[in-house]
Amino acid sequence: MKFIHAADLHLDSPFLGLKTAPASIWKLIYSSSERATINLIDRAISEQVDFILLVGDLFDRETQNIQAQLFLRNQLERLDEVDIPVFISWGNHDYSSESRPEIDWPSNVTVFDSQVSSHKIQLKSGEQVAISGFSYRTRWLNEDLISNFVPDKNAEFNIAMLHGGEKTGEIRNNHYAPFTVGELTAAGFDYWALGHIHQFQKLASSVPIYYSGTIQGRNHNEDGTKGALLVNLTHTETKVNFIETDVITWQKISISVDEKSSIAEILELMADKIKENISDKLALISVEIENQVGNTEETAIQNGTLLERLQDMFSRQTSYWPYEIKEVIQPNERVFSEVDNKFWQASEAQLFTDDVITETAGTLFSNAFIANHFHDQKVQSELKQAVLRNIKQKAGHKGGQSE
Amino acid sequence: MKITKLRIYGFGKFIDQTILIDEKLQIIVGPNESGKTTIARFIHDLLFGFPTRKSALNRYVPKESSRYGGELYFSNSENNYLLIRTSGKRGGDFSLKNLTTEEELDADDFQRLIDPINETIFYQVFDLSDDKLNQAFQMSQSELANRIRVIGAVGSGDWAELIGEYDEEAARLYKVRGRKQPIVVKLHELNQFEDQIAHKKRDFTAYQNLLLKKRNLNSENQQNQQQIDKLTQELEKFRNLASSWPAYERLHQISKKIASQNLRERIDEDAWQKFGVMKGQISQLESTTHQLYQKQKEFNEKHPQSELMVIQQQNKVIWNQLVSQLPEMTQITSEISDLKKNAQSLQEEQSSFERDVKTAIPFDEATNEEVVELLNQQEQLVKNRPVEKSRLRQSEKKQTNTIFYLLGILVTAGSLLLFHGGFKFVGTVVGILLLIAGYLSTQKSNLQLSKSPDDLIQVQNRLTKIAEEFQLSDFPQSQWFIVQSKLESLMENQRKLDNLSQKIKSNESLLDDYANSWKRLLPAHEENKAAVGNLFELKQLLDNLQQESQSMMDENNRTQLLAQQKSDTNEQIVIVQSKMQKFLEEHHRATASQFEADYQKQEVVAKDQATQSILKSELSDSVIEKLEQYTDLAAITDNISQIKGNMSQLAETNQTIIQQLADVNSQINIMMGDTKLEELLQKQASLQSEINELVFSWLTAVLSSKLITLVLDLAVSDRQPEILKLTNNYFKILTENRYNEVKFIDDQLTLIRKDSRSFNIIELSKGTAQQLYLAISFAFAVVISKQANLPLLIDDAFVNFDDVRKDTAIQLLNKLSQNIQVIYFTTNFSFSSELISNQIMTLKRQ
Repeated sequence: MKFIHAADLHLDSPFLGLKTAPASIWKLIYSSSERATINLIDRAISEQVDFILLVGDLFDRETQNIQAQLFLRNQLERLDEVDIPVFISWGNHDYSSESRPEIDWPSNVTVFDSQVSSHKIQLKSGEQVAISGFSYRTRWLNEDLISNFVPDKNAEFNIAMLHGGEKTGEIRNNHYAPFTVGELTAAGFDYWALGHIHQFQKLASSVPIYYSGTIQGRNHNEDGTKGALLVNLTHTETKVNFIETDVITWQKISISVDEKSSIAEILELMADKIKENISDKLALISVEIENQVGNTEETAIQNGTLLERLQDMFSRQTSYWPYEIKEVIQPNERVFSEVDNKFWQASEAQLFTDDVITETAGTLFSNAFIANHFHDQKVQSELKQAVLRNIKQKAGHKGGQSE
Repeated sequence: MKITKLRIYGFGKFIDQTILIDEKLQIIVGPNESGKTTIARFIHDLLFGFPTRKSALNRYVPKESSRYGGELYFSNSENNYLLIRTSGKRGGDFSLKNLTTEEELDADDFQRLIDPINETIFYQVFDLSDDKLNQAFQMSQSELANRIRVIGAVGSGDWAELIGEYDEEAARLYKVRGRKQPIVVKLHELNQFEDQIAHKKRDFTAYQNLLLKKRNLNSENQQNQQQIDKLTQELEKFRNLASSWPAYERLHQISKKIASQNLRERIDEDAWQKFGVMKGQISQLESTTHQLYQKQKEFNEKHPQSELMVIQQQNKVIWNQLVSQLPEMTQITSEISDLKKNAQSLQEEQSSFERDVKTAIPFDEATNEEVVELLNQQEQLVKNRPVEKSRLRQSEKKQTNTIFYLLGILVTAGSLLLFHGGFKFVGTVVGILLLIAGYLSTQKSNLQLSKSPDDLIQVQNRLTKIAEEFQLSDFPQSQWFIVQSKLESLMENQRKLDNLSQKIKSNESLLDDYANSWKRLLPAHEENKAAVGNLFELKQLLDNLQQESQSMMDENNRTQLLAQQKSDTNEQIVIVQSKMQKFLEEHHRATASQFEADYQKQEVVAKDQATQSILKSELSDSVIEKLEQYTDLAAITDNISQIKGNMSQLAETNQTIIQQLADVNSQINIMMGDTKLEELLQKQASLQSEINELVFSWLTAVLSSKLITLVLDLAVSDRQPEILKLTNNYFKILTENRYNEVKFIDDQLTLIRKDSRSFNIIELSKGTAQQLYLAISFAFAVVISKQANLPLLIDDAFVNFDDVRKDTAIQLLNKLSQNIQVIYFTTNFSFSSELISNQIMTLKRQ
């Protein structure tokens, strides 16, 4: 039997981390989710799969985007026309509250409700396949529902759909149908189709347990190729093939310069490095500078003009878009030569904590997007480096005599 | 470093002035405007450069065009130095010489000497002139507290500035209650997006409602459709019932009829046949009887005797006689007609003979013989003379001559008339020639005639005479006998004719008599008259009459026969009727009509039953059962019309629903086409990224500020003990031991009074706070000077303190000078002799 396992379509989620872009790039971005979905459905039809599993987070329920829902409906209708059944279970983002009226899905679509249940279908080969799953009723699910998954003895194959995350630490920190790999392996299913993690992952070998990842990356953490899984399952073996569906990729490139590099040189280096990668997908690129640059260059980086100029170079095409420039070097000189290091280190340690940052931000953190961004460890460390660089630069300017 | 000497070239009011400075404590006394501040500025500017023209600071450029600047002698680490600075760019022309080693040094070297102290630090820490201390008196408690806090940090000037810059930068980006800062503005923008998105979400609610509505409408539609289908089925059923109704009614009626029939004993086909036969017989007989009777009646009514018959019967004798004569008469008639015919033909013959013979007279016997003789003679004679042949030819010739004459005349006349010229002449000639030829030939023949023998001529003359006598001249001799025979025939015929006519006459008279007899008998009908005239018709009439009487006779016969028949028939009837009676008895019927009626009934019933079973087979039991519920067709048709009514209502309702569905669908489509939400979301995300970046910058600035502050605090708190110790000392002196201790408790500067009461800095009186500030400032300068020794310039610190006694002041100054070079400027100083006089310099008002 052959089927496709996909998840986390996030059809109506925007791309994060981009500030400005030319209209042609925005167009590609706006249409990316849909194009990735179309790629997925095209593949399903061309492979003539027996069915498709969509394991949650197809939309963002909070967003309530009509077009996204109708678009998906239309795509699923294409599958209906060639008699490919679709199994949907809602995840934590697109949880279903029965009180709200649903879109009329085409007749080939089976949607799991909040109780773990199973549906049996007959393949063209005559074999019976039972597919079990459940949908989220709210934005989180703290229970471990694995024990409710019971294989159907009358079916030749049993497949389970689960949108959730592995148990970590205290149970109370696990909000998304937590499970352990051991539990899944022992449950007696032939395949576990997981959703929620946006990265293709294999969790076990003895029993196929996979995250298919998302079909299109939407922020710089979701770099690498995105897609879904094409699974060939027989009684003797399981072959899992990753199929690409994404149309936009997030990339990081690093360039090495020095203090003597001029802005023009830096730009050229960046542009060349960007263009090295050739693909038919749009590449959103974060440029990292590994070394210390001169003061003017530093200023250009910090006030955004370097990025602007780099973006200018790419504003009339749609293969690449550099969206940020970062400096990754650690300022290695102590800025305060006259102050003992111990003061410095102690201050750093005291200041760059989550609590201080939160306190400092004050009401700004009442905006969730800001708070979430700055609670990230990476961001906090970037903040620290920026502060040190900043002070060093300004102190350098100021205390020219004391340097 | 310790300043030893100042040599002013030109600075402010001082021109070429040398001032010696004590290495420990130098007091410069002078009234206001005497130049105390100038000297302090001189030291400052020499060390750190003249202020630029753009600077707000006083430049103290000398009024006269003397040199600007001067010399500063100082000692540091057991070396003596000379620093010269005069007017020039970038703070002035600078030179530095190590007098001890004679080494020429530059600005960097000087920096290293005084490192880490820079201008700012000096200005803030060491230079307590220029109303700096007074400033403290202007500050609020919290400002003061802050200043005290920050003061402990090394290079806190720069750092304070940096802090200030960061704070400014941060404030530029964001203020909690700000309105114009980018972060605020963008957050506001974001809110608007969120409003728009929320609005769109309301769209979604509307959309969901539309979906719901659509679903409901669809299900309603379906229900209606199902209802309509159901009703259609029912309608069909009722229509079927209605269409079956007539058959049902018929069945009902027939069944009723059948039920109502009381049949007696069954009559089988055989019996019926028998009955039929008998009945037939009877009826036939009866009809025969009837016919006979009718016939009789007919006779009696329809056959009156004709007039003729009456006459006949009245004149039987004569009639019969005449009748018997009829054949004879008929014969006579035909004879007459024959005779007439003969006469006719004879007459015709006669006529033709007469024409033939013309006026010829028949020969008598003698003449006949003579003629025969003569003709023989002639013949003989002619044979002997060939010329006699020419006689034959002569007649021919005569004819030829005639032809010649005719031709000639014709040609001549014609030529004269018709032809012209030559032809005329020729034609006329030819014609005349023909005439001549004719004449000549005639003459010839006449000549020939005249050459005949005498015998012959005699004979011929006799013949000619005879011919004349008997009018035969027109006939050729060969014909004479023929003529004669004809003449005879003529005479014969004439006799016959006469005979005939006589016969005819007599017959006719007979007929006449006969006819008249009849005439007398018969009535005066025209036809009879005609009949009389024509025997044939009479015969017919008689025949008719004969027939009539014959038929009368026949009929009489027949009547008799009829009567006979009648009685025969009656007999038969009786026989058959008795048979019938028996038969009926056998079948238990009183009368034949009853039997018949019964049979008819039976047949009807049988037919009805047949119909009934057909109907029953046509209508199924279930149908019949259903129909039985209804009394009449109207009930069913009522149902039908009701159902139809319901259906049309439903159809209408459904129409409305379908329209509404179309409406809803089009609204959904409009919503579908609206892609703004996606853009809004992306813009929202992008804006959030921007905001995060700005917040990052803001946090960087804020945290930078905080970091520096923190570092400074730490540094301060580190130096704190030392500063505090010295502060304690100086403060004790200043307050004359009113306070025991100055310390930091919980980050707050706290004073502990002699009576152990502790006071927060805020709680102090202004005067005491100012004293504290002073003490700290001194303490700080002393602490810092440990890292780089620069003189402390103090400008009349105690002048504002009312209760500071002079010796306290001196005590303090001495204490200070133990650790740091103090240059003290004051307007008034009454000193004790403890101090060496060279420690005091008096300035006169310039």
